[in-house]
Amino acid sequence: MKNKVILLVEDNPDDVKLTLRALKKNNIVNEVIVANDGTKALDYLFGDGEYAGRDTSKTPQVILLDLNMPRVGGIEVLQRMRADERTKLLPVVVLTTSIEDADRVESYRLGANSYVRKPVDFDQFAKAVQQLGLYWLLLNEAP
Amino acid sequence: MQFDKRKSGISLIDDLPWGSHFCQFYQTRKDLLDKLVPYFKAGLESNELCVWVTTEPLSTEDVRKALEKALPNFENYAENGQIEIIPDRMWLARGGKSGKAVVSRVDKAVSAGFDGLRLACNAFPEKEGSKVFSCYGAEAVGRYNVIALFAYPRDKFDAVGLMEVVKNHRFALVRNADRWEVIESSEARTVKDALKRSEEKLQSLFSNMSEGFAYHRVVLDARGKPCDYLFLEVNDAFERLTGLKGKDIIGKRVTEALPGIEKDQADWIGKYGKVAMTGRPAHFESYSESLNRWYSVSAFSPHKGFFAVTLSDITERKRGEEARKKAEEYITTLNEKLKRNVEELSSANKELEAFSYTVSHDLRSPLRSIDGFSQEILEDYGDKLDNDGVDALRRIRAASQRMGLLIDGLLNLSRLSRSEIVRGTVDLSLMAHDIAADLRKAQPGRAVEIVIAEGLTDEGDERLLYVLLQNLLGNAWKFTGKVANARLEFGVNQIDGGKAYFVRDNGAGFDMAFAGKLFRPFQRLHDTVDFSGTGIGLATVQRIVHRHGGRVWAEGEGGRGATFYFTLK
Repeated sequence: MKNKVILLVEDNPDDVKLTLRALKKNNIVNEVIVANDGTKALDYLFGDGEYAGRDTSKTPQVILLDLNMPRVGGIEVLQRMRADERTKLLPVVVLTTSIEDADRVESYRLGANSYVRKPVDFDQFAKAVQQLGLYWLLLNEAP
Repeated sequence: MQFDKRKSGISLIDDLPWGSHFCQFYQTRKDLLDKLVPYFKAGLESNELCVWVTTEPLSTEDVRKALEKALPNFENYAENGQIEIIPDRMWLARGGKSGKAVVSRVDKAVSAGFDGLRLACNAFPEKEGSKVFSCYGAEAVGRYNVIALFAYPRDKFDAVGLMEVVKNHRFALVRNADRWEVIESSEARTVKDALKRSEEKLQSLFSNMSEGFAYHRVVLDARGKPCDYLFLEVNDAFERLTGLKGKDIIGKRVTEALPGIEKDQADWIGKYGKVAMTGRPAHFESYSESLNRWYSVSAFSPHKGFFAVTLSDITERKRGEEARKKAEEYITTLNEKLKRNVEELSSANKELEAFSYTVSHDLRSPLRSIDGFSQEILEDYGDKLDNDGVDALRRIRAASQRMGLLIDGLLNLSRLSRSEIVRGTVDLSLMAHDIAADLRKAQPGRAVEIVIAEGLTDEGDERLLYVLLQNLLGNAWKFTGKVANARLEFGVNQIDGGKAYFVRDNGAGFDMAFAGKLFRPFQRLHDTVDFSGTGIGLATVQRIVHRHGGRVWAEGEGGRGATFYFTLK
């Protein structure tokens, strides 16, 4: 399990740092690949750009995906992933600040596996990350 | 009818209607002049075109002199072309026998603006030397505005012949010794009586009919185009419907009676002129600017140059139609305005949505950083801080978390206003029981008496009404937190003839002086220390009630509990 990576797609460096801290705090020591926008995430997944030549058969255990990002947003990343055989079934957890119904509905429509709203309270946030890690890294059987 | 009567000028004879012809037997020049001079004098004075066909023993010169003598202003009439004196040979040469001469004079009379034609002419033997005489042109007389007198030479007839002539005329003028007499044929008399009776009937109909009736003659301009018309006769209804009095307008031009009518959009003179000149009847509905009324008008022409109209006042109907049209236009305008407003509202709503999104995302992110990194300092560097430092960081965290709640409250409030209302039957009692159970579960240590009236159902949006009751019962629960025998009640009262639901508690209450502030967002009447909250709950309640078309208000007293009422439509 430990050699399975987590792909964190997040443009806000604060949120990246806080997420990594929350993971660490919950003893989740998997390697975390951080893509700070949608393009980088897709490059990683499909072995393009700076990840050219990467063995794309090694897929992340779970993808933590932010929605609001410049250029290529989370919704588009999700769309592109679900349209490609290689990433079609990868577990995606949308981790966002938005509580807009439209975002939630659209994410699920496009095949997101979970939709989690980042709480302001770090303790609650850490708890959410812990539960996510527990579920997606330990309990969930990959497809 | 009066408008059809012409003065004969001859004392033995009454007025004559248009279309009459009669005869005179003469022996001398004097016989002719005796009757014809006053006959034409009356014609000239009544605005008729006069045509005197002279015959032996009268010359045109004799006639002229006699008329000059009888009429001091004869020259004026002659200059106006109102009289024509023509020898019988010429008259016959110009179509006197076929009636063509009569018709051409009628046309001339109309285009020159005369009321009609007055003719005097000899009866001529049918053939040279024949004893049978005819009044040529008499058929034309009957069809137009013409009066004609035919002169017969007395000496050419024996008693039988004389009687034959009399029989063919309504009446004949005959001199017996020195006295003129009128011989009326019994046949003609019968016809005349019948005519009189029918005229009387017509007259009564004319005066009593509810439609206005008026008889007119058109006035033509130099080019023969109708430019005005004269009132010849009007009935009572016409006076009533137009407000014009017969005695003021008979014989007057319409441009005098109703100045400015020539500029009226309805083009009365043009329309009537066409009827009078073409003989084609017309029916139309028009607005008279000078009378400020609407009329339905039928116009027809009994003789060329003349026209009769029947009219009824349709002002009320037209105004009704106009009012309806205006109302329709007004509604259309309102609808368009409403449509624009709805469009504006929907664009405002879209902006609000975009704004909410920004608030939700952009304002909460920094809060998370503030809270998260404060926590990091507390965890990683807590041992390097003194108590004040730790306390300050805790306060930072509490404040940012609270701000997160406020933002969420605000977003929920805006979402309440935007979401669509789905109406259905809602069991409010059941809902209140559910909420009460949740409250007890959240704070199992509290002993609170909760009284819920059973069977309260109403129409509304289930989701919104749940939020409403949750807020009101939640408040009641919260504000009774510090009293010994806490009691909550949900029920209904009849107020102003309608149902007013209420949630009552015996908790902290509030000062009625601040009742107006209760429902404003972020307005709080209690300390956060005493009672936690964001100040958004009652604003939410109010918004939900308003979205249901209802009313919400509160009664309370500091320390003695509060009652919140709401109605639903």
